[in-house]
Amino acid sequence: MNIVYGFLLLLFVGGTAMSQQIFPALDTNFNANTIIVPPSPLKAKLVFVGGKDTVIGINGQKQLAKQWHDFIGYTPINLQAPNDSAYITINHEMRVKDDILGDGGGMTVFKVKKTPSGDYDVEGGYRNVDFTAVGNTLANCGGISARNGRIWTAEEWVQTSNKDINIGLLPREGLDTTYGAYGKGSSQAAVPGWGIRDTNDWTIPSGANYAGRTIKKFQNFNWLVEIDPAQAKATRKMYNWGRFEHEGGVVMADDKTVYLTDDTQPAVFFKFVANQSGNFNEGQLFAYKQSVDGNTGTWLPLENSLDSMLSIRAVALRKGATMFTRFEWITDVKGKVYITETGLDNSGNRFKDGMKAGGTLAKHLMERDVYNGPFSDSTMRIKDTVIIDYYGRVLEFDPATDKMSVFLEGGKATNYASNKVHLSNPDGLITWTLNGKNYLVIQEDLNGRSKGRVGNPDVDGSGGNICEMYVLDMSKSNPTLDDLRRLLITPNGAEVTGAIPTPDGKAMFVNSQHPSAGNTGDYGNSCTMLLTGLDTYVTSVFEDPSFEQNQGFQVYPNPATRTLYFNEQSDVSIYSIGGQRVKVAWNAEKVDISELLPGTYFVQNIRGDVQKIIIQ
Amino acid sequence: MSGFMNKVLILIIVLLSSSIIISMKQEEQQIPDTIRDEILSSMDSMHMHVSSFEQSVNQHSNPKILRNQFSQLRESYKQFEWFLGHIEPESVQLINGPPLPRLDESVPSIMEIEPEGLQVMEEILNEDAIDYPALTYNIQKLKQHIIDAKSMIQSIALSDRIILEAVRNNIIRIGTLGITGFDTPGFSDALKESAISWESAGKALRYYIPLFQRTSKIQSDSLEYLLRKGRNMLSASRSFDAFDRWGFTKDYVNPVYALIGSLHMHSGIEINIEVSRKNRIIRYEAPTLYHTSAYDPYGYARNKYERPSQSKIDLGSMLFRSTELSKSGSMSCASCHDPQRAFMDGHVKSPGSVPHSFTDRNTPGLLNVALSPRYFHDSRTTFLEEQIEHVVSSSIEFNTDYFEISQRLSQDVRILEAFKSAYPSESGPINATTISSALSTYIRSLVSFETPIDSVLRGEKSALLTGKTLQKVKNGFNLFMGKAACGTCHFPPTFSGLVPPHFTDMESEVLGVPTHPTSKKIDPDLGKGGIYKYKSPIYAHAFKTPGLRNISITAPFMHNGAYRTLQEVMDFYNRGGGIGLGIDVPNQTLPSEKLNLTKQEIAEIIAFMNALVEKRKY
Repeated sequence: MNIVYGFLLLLFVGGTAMSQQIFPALDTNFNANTIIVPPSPLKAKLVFVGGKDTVIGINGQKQLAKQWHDFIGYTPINLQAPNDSAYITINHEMRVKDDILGDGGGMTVFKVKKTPSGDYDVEGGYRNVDFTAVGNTLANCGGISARNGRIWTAEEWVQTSNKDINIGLLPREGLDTTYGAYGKGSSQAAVPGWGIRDTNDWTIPSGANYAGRTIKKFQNFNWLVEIDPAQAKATRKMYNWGRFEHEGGVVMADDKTVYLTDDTQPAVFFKFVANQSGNFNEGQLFAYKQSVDGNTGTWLPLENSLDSMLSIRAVALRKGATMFTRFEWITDVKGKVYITETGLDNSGNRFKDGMKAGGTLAKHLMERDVYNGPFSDSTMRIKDTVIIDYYGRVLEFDPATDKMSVFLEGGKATNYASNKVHLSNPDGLITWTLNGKNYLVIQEDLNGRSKGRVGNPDVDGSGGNICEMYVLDMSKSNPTLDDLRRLLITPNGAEVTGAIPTPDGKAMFVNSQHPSAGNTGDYGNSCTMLLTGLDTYVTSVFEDPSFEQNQGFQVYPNPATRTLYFNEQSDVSIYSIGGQRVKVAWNAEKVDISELLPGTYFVQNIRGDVQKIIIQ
Repeated sequence: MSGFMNKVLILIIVLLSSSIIISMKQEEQQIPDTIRDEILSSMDSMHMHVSSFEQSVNQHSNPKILRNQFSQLRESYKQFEWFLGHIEPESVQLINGPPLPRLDESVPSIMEIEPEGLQVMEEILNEDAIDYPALTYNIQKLKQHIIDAKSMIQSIALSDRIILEAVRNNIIRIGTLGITGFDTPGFSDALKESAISWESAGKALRYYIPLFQRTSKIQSDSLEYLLRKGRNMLSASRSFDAFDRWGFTKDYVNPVYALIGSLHMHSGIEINIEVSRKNRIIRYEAPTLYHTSAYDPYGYARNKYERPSQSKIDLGSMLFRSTELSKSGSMSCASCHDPQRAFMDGHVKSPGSVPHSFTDRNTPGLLNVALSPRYFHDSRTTFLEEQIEHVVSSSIEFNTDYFEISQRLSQDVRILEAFKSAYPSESGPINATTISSALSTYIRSLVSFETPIDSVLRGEKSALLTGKTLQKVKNGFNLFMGKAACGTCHFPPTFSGLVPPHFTDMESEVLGVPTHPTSKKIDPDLGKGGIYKYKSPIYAHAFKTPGLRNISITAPFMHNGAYRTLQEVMDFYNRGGGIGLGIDVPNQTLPSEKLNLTKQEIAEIIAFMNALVEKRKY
């Protein structure tokens, strides 16, 4: 055995610097075509960094900003010039005790003003949103940013006792989005007294529905909460919109109808209709019930009492509401509503209870019941419903017909080899209007890595970006996954959440965990970034490469997506100027070069054709 | 070797092989697809085994027939586990995951996932009265998972690199898991299955022998020889307890792993860093997993592109020893994590910064602790950066916040300069993220696999492990990995709950540790089950499985420091944990059967653990 090791040792010592040669030898003096890859048209700058920027809290004291940035709200200061200046509100999805910023989750607000170059500057520092008047929030995740700038912040994780809310969640660091927002990274400390410290009963204050009524403190969480960004204050909790796993909602153009999403299983689709435009204090809450054929549906009115609101999902299920799997974000385009239904790997058990309570299963989920095959016995299905839903989907709801249908089923694109689009567990969803065109921006939040959901660098050489962000041109009729284009918002595959464009679509605010685009160095942090240069960017994202006929090996760079396209599917390797092989791709029509530092490289295919590229 | 020599070598290789390789390439390109076809047909074969097993279950056949058929079914799975385990680890979890419930961590509520798959089925078959409906239920799901996995494999783009990585990974799977019987909870034969797995992956590797022969004839011949001998050793074994795991690891697992790696890297086939530069937990370039160079703790960092710098390590080391981090000014990280004692302090619970206060749990050592996706005994945090904030905020530890710390540290010009040089692009260099980044960088520098055991298993000689001592340690290792079943939770090579071969999961176990050695009462600490997000009975009293490297200098033991000596710890396990002591632990994950270890066997296991210590000074 020692002989083998002795030999190996020699090879390991001597061999580490040895270059590998399965491609033909590269001659770096080769007079290759030079292709310039200009810098991405997208410019990113940091506007708010958790754990670093200082926030003015209660009584004017200072504290380092909370982390776990999630939803972003955009409130124009002047509705006549909505792009000029705005209040930006950032959700913090973590629960801590904090004398200066308040216990529980929270929000930060700051003012931005447009500069002549189209950039935005932060003005007047960062302020903590004061939730004292509404009895604090537990963890702020999603929310609603209405057209007119009204902001509601949403709370998930329904708690069932005062003891639970008293437990604190630390730390303030960002979370790992590898497995989604609640994934392995969402650390939850179990320290009693580190959460909501005041657990006295809560009397609903005036200005909100059911004012004067007293509820348990834990019942005062998991509502939508309206805030006033200008005053940096929460104004009221929407007790008449029901208590459930609020992810967000959308206020329709009539300023009366609000659709609300429920992030759990079974999820119920809720709608609130105000009696008067803009006044959400009075109105009626409904739950959706799909027709058996799936072509229409009815809205079940729900009892308006406080008791009913406190356990509104159970009330809705008793009335026969339709059950879905984890609703996430919701948005509207031209009067139609789009919802991300994120999916669940091992769902089913919860539906069983929901069915017992009176709920009905959504048609598209019913079709997925694996027991339809081996077990035709319908009782078995209800007894042991197992719905495998690895990828999730985007649903479309048409208020004109009350039809809920699948808009874009998750999974793998048909031209996967060239497009490599795999839409899995869509979560964030926002409408982006730019130059009169509507786009849907879809953000993933993965439930797992299997079934091709994540580009596994060890397997498919995708670079391993997780939780991708896609854009879909809404002018396409009957879109498929092939129409999705990857939005690479930051270099180094930084994952982003909570994207919100400015009304003109020319800039976008996003939250990120890895601000490598900024100057915060190469360590993770929760931060808010401003992206500009989107006009040019979006054009090149949808730009298909054009190649000249019969010109041999051709390379086409797309600076926006940091991709090199080839005129033919081939085996390609990229060498540094020193001749070291830095990247290999097999059977590729394109290769992701976002990891390559600026500099000169050589791209060679298996036939030995070489092109020189300069990444700027 | 000099740069000049390297260039000459490259030139020679290029001259000799480039033209041949191009022509060979055409023929070799088919290998991954050939292997894919073979994998798909072995999956079909497993599906057929499931179907015939299902028929027998439906007919309520004789348990003996059922068990026999089931063993064949498992063996059909072992034909392609090496491949699926690399391509789709989550499918392996579904098909052959541990028979324990877990939580779906992707949902914002507590959602239990019941266990399923082969190990659950084996447990059912092991009962006197077989639960047929439960078997049927598992069969249905298993069929679905095979179909899902098949369609995945049909569509994936394979390359030579992926095949070689999968084969190499499987060597680790067998060497760390297979031979311990970790996935055969009942009557199945772990060593026979390991032989099948070894052979199936080896069969795929044989397609590369012509290429390897050109790369290095002597290495290629050695590889073929060792593959054959290794398989023979596994299949010749007639007794689970008597199998020489030490010899198998040293003579087959490690050399074969090293040879595949070396041949792969010199064959011209690319390696993983040429496909994505993202940090990986395991550096493919390392010869064995008993080399320090095999591990990159930045594979566990939140930012998978982050790299350390010496100035960050130096700053982190300084901060680690600085009492300025605590409000009282009396406590530093080193107060409890003493660098002289493998970074723990010898206390049952450590004294806090407030008079007469103590930490809630025993202080863990920090060597190799950076190789983990989980921190704290209750697994509550994911990243080192987060772990630190808990100490900062704890009222009995630093009792402060980053804002205060930043202000205090800014007073010291020396510290400010150190921050500036470590984080030159920061405008205000002392802040929450730079403090936690520097400390994490320092902890990540404390990774070292340089014990006498590592040396010997790497094939080197160790002056500390010879003669009778070596024999005792060998026996100890064999018991640890075999009869005593320690290795089914303390997985080598970290000997912690870090699960090979991917090293991405850190397990917790429910042992039923009592309040003190003579007590019949379970320690009331709920551990992982007390965590908001894991508040499920399945995790009540669950604690992270610590690494056993340097164990002999980190007494007392267990999360509550209940045991003062390894002898006491071994006695606890030998009796079957909490249940064995007569404590009611409904969800104990440690098997409650007595291990029946003799005094001498216990002494040998302790001798093995004593040799798992480094002499390095920090």
